[in-house]
Amino acid sequence: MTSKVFEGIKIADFAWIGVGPITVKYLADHGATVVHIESATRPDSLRLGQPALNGVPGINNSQFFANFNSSKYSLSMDMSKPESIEIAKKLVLWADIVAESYTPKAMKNWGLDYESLREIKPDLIMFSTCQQGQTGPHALFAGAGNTGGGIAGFYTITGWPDRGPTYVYGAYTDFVSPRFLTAALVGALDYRRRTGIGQYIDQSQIEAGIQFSAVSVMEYTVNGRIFQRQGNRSNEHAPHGAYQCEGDDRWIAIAISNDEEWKSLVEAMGSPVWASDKKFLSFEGRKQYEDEIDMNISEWTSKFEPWSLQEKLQSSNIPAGIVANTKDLHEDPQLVHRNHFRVLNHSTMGDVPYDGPSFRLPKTPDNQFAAPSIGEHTDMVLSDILGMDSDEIEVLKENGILQ
Amino acid sequence: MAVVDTQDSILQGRRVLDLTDVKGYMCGKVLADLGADVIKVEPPGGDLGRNTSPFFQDDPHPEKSLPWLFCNMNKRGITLDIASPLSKNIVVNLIKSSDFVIESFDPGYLSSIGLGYEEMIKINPKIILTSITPYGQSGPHSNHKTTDLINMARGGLMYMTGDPDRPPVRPGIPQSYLHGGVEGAAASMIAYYHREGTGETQHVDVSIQECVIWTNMDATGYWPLLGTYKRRNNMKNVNPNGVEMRSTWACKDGFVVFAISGGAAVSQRRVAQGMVDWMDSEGMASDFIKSINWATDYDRSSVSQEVVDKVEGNVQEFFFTKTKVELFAEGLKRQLRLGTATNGKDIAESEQLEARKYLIDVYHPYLEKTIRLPGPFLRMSETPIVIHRSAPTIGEHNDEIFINELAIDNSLFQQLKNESII
Repeated sequence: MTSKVFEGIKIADFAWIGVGPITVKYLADHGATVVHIESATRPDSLRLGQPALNGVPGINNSQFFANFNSSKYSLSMDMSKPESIEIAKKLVLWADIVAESYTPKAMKNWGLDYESLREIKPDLIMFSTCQQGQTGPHALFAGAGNTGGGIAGFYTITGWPDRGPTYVYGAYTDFVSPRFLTAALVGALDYRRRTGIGQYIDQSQIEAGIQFSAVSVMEYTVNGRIFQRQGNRSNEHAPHGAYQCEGDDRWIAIAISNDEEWKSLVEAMGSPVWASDKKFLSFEGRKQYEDEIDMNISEWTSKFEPWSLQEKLQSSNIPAGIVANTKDLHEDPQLVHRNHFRVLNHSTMGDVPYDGPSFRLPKTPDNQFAAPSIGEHTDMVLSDILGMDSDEIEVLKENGILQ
Repeated sequence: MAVVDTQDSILQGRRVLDLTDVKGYMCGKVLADLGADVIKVEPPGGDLGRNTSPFFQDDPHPEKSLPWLFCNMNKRGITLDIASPLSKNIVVNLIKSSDFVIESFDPGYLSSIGLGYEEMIKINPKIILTSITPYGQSGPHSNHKTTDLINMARGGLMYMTGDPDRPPVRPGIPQSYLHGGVEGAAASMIAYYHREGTGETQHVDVSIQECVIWTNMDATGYWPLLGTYKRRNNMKNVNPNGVEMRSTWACKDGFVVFAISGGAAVSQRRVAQGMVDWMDSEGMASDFIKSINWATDYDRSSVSQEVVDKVEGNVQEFFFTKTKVELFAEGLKRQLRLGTATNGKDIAESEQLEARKYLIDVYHPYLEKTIRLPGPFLRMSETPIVIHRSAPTIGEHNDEIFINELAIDNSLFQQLKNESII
């Protein structure tokens, strides 16, 4: 019998979109009881996004939302109503952790900010995560991870030197921040267990992001220079890039670090005449003539499809791999071996594969159930967790609170 | 030697033996920031990761690698050849006094030198072993060779990043090992919470490939649900008719991130109208853009490229008259969701980061210089993160740890030095 790490830990989850829900998911998938508080009147925008069941957007159809919200119960209520605020406060009293990710004014407007809540629950652990943090002149900036990726410095360092800044796909800071926040949040839980003291965590997602672009900041503060984008080039490797393969937009990445790997690559290519040129023997030479090398490698790689080429190059100990699209990820033998995608049964969407975690805890494996349809557990939460009777719940429904 | 008060930290009195290379540096960094005593173990001569550019004043010296200096702050450092039979007792003693061992060797390497998980828990039954590797501890690809580029490729982010007419491109600073390291810290903390509650310990197995997959945002569900996959278009919004809408714009001194669109979404219409009002207040809104009904004329799914080009051309003209700081400041006031595409200088000069004292100055004794770099990764009210130590120089704490703490006798210490084991 395996145990769940966070069995008995209770979370009132007011978070939406990316960072907050993903962070809470780490605990939910490992046994915490999570009530995800949302409003059908003002839904999480991811609930209306793609990919949706049959391609038709709908509040219960979105895998974009579901993938970040597994193993949670959904309570839906209209947060503009005072009755809802009262219910929220009861959930705070029930909870060990309050999670929220609004621009820093929403919780205050509802009277649900940390200062107010710690008065009714002194040992509360609460996190707030937003773009710019809770303080400072830009605190009220309303953006998303796509603006966060820009402000944290990722776009000017990415892309081609002869073109403008390039988006890193997605809302990049949304996928840096949860890892830091989870480490701190779990630490705060342990600290409270040890000392009885709760606390408040303030995360700026842009500050979290800059931990990953720190080198660009230091290049300026230390060397007085602006870090320049250089496509796929690297100061430590040559050749180094994505090379076209057979098929529609198919590519393989190859990274050569030293003479030995270069020799292996030349042999794997069948020792073509061009590669025997002495100017390619040293790293400096390969760096100098990188364009020429890239052109020749591409001509060779274009005759192969990327999966078989990956096997061929790896069997010669060459760092190489398919530039995977998300179809490839579902078919990747290593991810199949690790059971990365787990099919979960959603109350509206049916069986859909979800991403599993990035780590395995063999003694306490993650134990996921599908994300909720909106308000799926409203009655259960109100009756089983808050102890309301059916008449009370009926009145709330009639008054339009529970939507 | 600086004595640090870690009384109010999460991991006070806990020790981490950090055997990682570049793949796992950030794991120890996060645990150190949370208050653990992290001992970075480097092979004699220093980590290979010390050869990573850029360097302090462009001098390719192992004490001057900027990525190394950032990722190893708050750690102490020793040099030790852990595979040598002569170091066995020292390694055993270090494991005995530790709570975590973190490592990023090829799967199976530690077992081959007698330090696999089974051996470790015999030495210390409470040890948490965290392994951070490209593909995880087992499976058909677990012994594949990688670099950051290969990880970004095989984790799916790279395929979707870049321009459609060029090859896929990776983020310009290596990211995959940072993800692997911080995820390793999060997973280690979960295992630690479990250990503190139950006494049960385990071997944490982190896959960097899976960490990269978790940066794919919405994309992994496209194949099973829609039978399609996302391609790269530099995040332009492209509607089903092929109409492209911009997301990055040039301005007077750089670039900003902004989208103008309409249709049913009230928030988008509010942003669009807000931008036109601002342009109009400076006499730069064309009659055409003022005549747009954002609800009906500019729905993302039906608007024509001709209309988009006219609207965006006018906005672009306006942006060229402003700096990114001006655009951001007024955009913030008007709630236009306008971000900047910053470089290192912008970050260093940000008034927001200055107000929050995010960048800190750390004195580095070897360089005899103070270096300004990112400080705590978040704020905790009761257990604040304190950066109290610059990254160690090669073997900086050898005497302190081997002689003062492990009480190795001096002749053995000399022998280990002479044989290049320390």
